[in-house]
Amino acid sequence: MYDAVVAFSHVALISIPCYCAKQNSVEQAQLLKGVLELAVLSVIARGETYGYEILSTLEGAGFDGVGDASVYGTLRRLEQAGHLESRLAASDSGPARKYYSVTSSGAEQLQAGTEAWSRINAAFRELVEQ
Amino acid sequence: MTRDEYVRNVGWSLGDLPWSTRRDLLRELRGHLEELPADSDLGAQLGSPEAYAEDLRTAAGLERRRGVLAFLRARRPRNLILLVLALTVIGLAVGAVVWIDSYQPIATGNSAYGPLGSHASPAGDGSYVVFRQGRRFRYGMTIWNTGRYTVRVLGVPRTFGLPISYRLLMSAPTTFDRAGIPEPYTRFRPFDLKPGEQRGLIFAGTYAEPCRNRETGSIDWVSIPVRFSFLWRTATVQVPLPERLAFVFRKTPACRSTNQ
Repeated sequence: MYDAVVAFSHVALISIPCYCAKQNSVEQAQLLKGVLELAVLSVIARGETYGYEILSTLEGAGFDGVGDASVYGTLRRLEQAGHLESRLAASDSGPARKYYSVTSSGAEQLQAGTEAWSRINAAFRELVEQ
Repeated sequence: MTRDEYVRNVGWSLGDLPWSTRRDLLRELRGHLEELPADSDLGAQLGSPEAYAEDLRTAAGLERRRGVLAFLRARRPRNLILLVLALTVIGLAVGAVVWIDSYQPIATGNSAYGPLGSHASPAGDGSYVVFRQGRRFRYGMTIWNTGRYTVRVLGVPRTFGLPISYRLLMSAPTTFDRAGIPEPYTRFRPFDLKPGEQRGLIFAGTYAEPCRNRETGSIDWVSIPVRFSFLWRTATVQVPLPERLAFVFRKTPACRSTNQ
């Protein structure tokens, strides 16, 4: 069910986000956006987490070309689509955090998306290596 | 740019979104900013507030909204309710002022008596009386409060040019279902006219016309100007006589003597 976990196994769960200048090209950012929804789902599928932590994990995995707003916007869109559910929990520092978890439809979406992405990736590799 | 300023500017750029959506997005942004180091340069890290808002909008699939409905939904419900309440109160206040300014319940009562020697006019459109300088004159009629609220009758202005010299008297109060102008008659004093109540106004005096070369002709008396007050408003209303009264003039000795 959580093939995406394998697919993104190199993602470090705890990482310090690099808020230095984001130097990815516009083209790379567009490529990353295409898979951002799956990436976000896969991070949350590992366990309940909140926005900043998701962002940190993604940046540690090399998604630092994607803007913070894009990640939060994606979280909202996934939640509105019913793929995520959330709860507010008090934080030690600052305002309450919104914790996300994957719903069953989110898990199905993740599995289907990962398979589709794998097929595309394999097809692309084959095309490039010819 | 401080965190509050950044959040405020992002919120401004998302001003077309429903208030609850905007609140959720900004709450999460605020939480995100709290996680950043205190000395962070928000513009350098997150981009301009406008760009952040645009990215957020695009990623969340939130289309830009226009129109009256979108404008209303973008307002905080509490503020919207307060606005509606304020507009309602203002509307009611304006309506009340307009209503009070137009409130006029005084009408002709059910009783009147004409001066001695008055006759029905040949045309059947009222009555007439021959003017005789210095002769006794008395005319009475009732005014009636047809409204639902009490008004204060202040008096009858002496500006309507009748050929009489008079003292204004008033009757005891009565009701519309009783005919007549009940005595005692007393000198006029401002009085409250309650709903459904009527009271007689009596013009008691003598015929008096300063000489102004009037040989013949007539003066029609059709209404009485009654000054009244209701709450803060004071106004004068013309209360029609039950029927027109004409003062018919013959040659008057006073005029003749003056003209000669």
